[in-house]
Amino acid sequence: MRACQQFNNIEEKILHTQTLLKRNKKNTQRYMQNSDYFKRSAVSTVPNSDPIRVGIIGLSSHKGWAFKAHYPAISQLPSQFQITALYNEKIETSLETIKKLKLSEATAFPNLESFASSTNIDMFVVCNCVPDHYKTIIPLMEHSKKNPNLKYIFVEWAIGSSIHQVEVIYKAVAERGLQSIVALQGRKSPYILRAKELISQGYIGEINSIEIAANGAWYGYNRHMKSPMFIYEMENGVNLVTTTFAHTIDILQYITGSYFSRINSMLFNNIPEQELLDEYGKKTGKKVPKTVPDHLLFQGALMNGNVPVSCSFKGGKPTKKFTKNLVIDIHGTKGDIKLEGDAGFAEISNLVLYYNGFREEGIPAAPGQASYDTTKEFTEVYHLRNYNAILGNIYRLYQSVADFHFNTQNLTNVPSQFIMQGFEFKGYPTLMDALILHRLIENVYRSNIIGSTVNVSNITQHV
Amino acid sequence: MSIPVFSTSSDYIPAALKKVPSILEKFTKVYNVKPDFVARSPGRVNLIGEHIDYCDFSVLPLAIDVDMILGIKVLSNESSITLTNDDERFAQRKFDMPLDGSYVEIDASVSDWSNYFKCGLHVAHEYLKEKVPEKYANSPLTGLQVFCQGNVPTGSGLSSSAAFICAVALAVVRANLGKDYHMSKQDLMKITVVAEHYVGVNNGGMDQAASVCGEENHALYVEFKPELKATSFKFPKMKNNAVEFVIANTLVVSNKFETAPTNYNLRVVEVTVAANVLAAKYGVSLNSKQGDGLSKGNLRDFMNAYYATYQNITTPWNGDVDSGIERLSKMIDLVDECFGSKKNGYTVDEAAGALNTSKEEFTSTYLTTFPVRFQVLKLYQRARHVYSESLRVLKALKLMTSGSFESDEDFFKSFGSLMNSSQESCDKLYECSCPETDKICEIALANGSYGSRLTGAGWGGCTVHLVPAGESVENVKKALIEQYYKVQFPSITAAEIDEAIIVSKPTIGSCLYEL
Repeated sequence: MRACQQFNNIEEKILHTQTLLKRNKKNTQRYMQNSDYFKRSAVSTVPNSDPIRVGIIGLSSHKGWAFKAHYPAISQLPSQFQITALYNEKIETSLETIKKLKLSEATAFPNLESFASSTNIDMFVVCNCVPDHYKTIIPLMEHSKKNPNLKYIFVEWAIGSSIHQVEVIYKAVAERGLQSIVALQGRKSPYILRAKELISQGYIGEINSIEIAANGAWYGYNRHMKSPMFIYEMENGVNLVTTTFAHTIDILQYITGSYFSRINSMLFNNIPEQELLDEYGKKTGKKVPKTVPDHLLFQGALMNGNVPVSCSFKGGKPTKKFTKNLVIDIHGTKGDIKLEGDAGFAEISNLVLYYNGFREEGIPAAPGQASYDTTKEFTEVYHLRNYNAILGNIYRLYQSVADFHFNTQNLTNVPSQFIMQGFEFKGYPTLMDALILHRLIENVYRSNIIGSTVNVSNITQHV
Repeated sequence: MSIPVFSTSSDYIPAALKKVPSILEKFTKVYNVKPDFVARSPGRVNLIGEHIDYCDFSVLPLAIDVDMILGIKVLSNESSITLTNDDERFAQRKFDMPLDGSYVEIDASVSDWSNYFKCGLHVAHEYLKEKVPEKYANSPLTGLQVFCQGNVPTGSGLSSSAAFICAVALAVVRANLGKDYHMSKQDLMKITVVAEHYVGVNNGGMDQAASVCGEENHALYVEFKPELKATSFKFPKMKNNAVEFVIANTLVVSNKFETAPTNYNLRVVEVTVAANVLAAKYGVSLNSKQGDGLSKGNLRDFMNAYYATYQNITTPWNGDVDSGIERLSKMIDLVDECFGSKKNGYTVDEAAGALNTSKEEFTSTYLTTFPVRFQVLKLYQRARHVYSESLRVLKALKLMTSGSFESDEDFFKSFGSLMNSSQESCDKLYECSCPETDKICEIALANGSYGSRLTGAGWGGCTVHLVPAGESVENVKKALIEQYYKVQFPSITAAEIDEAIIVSKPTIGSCLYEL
């Protein structure tokens, strides 16, 4: 983890970000020399100190994202994390969850205030519906002042329903002095890390263009009965742009190590009414309104190398027969990388990485192998058949929090906090990373409304 | 035959278990409690037959007296497992088993020692679910405290991973079914054969078979088809000097997990593609099994399919030595005929073309089971190695068991020459040797070894040398110390040299020691 200064106030902290961004580039270069992340054997080390005590908001006993991803991830790391507190709108939900999941160390809290002020929590995990994040986190920051043990807040993407909410949340968390973690877990996918590694080690030379096509399943002609209402209403901030697009573009920026300089976008809501499907997937004949977009065309230039990126995100049923639901094509001067997936959500699906190209300086051969013919191309297909991406990427995010907290790599001068992950291999995305991404989203909307290209080169700075 | 179980009251306790008291002491120190039992599984050396087990061709290994020993305390009221390793490079691990009885996740994308434990745990878990479904369908296995002590050097080609996985699987079954359940060697061998696939290494079954079925003073003939079987046999009786195998470690470490995409897994892909290209060329159909792309039939399947179509021999080869020698010789001719004009290798496009399929289809069928990286697929070299190496195994077996040699010298020369040809094939065709291995073989051969070759997967790791017992063994050792170890590693200590050169006596395989 990068050494980092302590700050007296947030203004200073935010201003410092610019310097950090520059340094990030250097750090990425430093990591180019080593590809050690695969060799990290410091996983799940049993720490000498007590586990991080986790208070979760929004964990139920049988459904929901917290139950599907966060709970199993935490249970795979019992020496590092322990669930000690639960808060749900109804205390019965928490009590039932404790009973069913046998969370013997956990307490169910009747209201947010008592949950927030419990001193038996080191880390909040905010996993309730996104539209509720704002009204949860702001009082949480206030009441938690009574808990001197609190160190971390882990917030599910998309943080808030608008850029304004996200800015306020960022400030409130910074003022409270907490280390934030944001579930942009695609950055932890082994495929994304492998792609980042190949690019940073010069396997494709200079990037010259990128195309992305992705399918955001929920936003097509049909809607499943059980699908939650809030993801179809624009004011909630959970839609094709903030989910499918944001996760994917975050991954792309992370892989290439570059933000965008200018962007242009077009949004469509050509399907203002969806047909409702019953639990067996049959049409019910009922129509329901949809105010969120079903299509997004996005194009932009990456700051590093002025690389053109063109993306098409479409709502609709995943079609597996002839097309992939996710394709990221990265073309370079010496090779290409293609990432493919069966769902338009790179952060939660198992992918396949294809690489083809050559490096002028060649690739060091393994012992016993004749050195490679540097005039010939390499082919690499990277796929882990049994990788469970829903659990795996979140699990790796928790692991990196534990790595940081317990300093498993025994680094000296580890700061108690860091502001952002930027494009580093190590660490984890924070609210600052999330804020920058939200500013990009804001500009996607803006470009669509004003109908022209927008300069986004300043969104990483304090504005 | 069931896995041998020993205890303090046993009349005979194999030498391999002499380390038990020290394990007890260390276990007690870590956990403040005594273990319930000890499970042990050895490493192995392969005398001949390299990289052919995953094509279902037989091999000649023996279990050796380096091993993994586990001290185990059963925690019946818990469902967490704590792992402590005597080697402090491997930090302590602890994990819970899901309470609903589902399997523990193995993250194949990271390299961690606990993953190997989880592999053994996983296959034992499957076995228990099958044996006692009423108990394990919806509830977790029992919790464990585990102390691991192993002296099989990792990445040495002596199969530290199989020793670990077999010991773990045996321990988990014993911990859950109690000491009155006697697991058979066949069962333990069967379940552990595929265990390493869960960490993304697509190995064959030789290592596990040797580790489980080893016997004192016996080598093993391990067959994979028609069924998985390990037959033990003694080295032939000599007039003057007994047969001895010297194992020398190059001390070049190959991390299987990290190099698999360019080495091990790639070879598995190459031989599978080769089998299918041969099948396409000769118009025969391989009995492809259900499952992933690499179940699409192997070089042994092609041999059977070819004989069925062209010689009207519809029963697959049963392992008979003489007919095997004849058929494998024929296969070598076919490899020359089919691939001889394309010795430079196949690109993805060319391989897809040879199989009359699209490159997309080819990629998804053959290249997405495990991560792989390559410039070309060297089908000629790999297929020729597999068939010729399998042929050498049959010849070696014949020598070992039929006693068809006139003098000691005759045996040593004949067996040694098979080993030397094997080394040449591994080096030139399979490209799994390395300069250090070549150097060691050269020194050993010049100083009394009759046959010298790499053993295990290669790319570093250990070498094995056929040397008549007595003076020659000392000469070979001395030469290796002076001309290899002290030259290559000037600061090497006497203790390190001691560990690097093993003169092995075949030892007992997996066993339990009750406390």
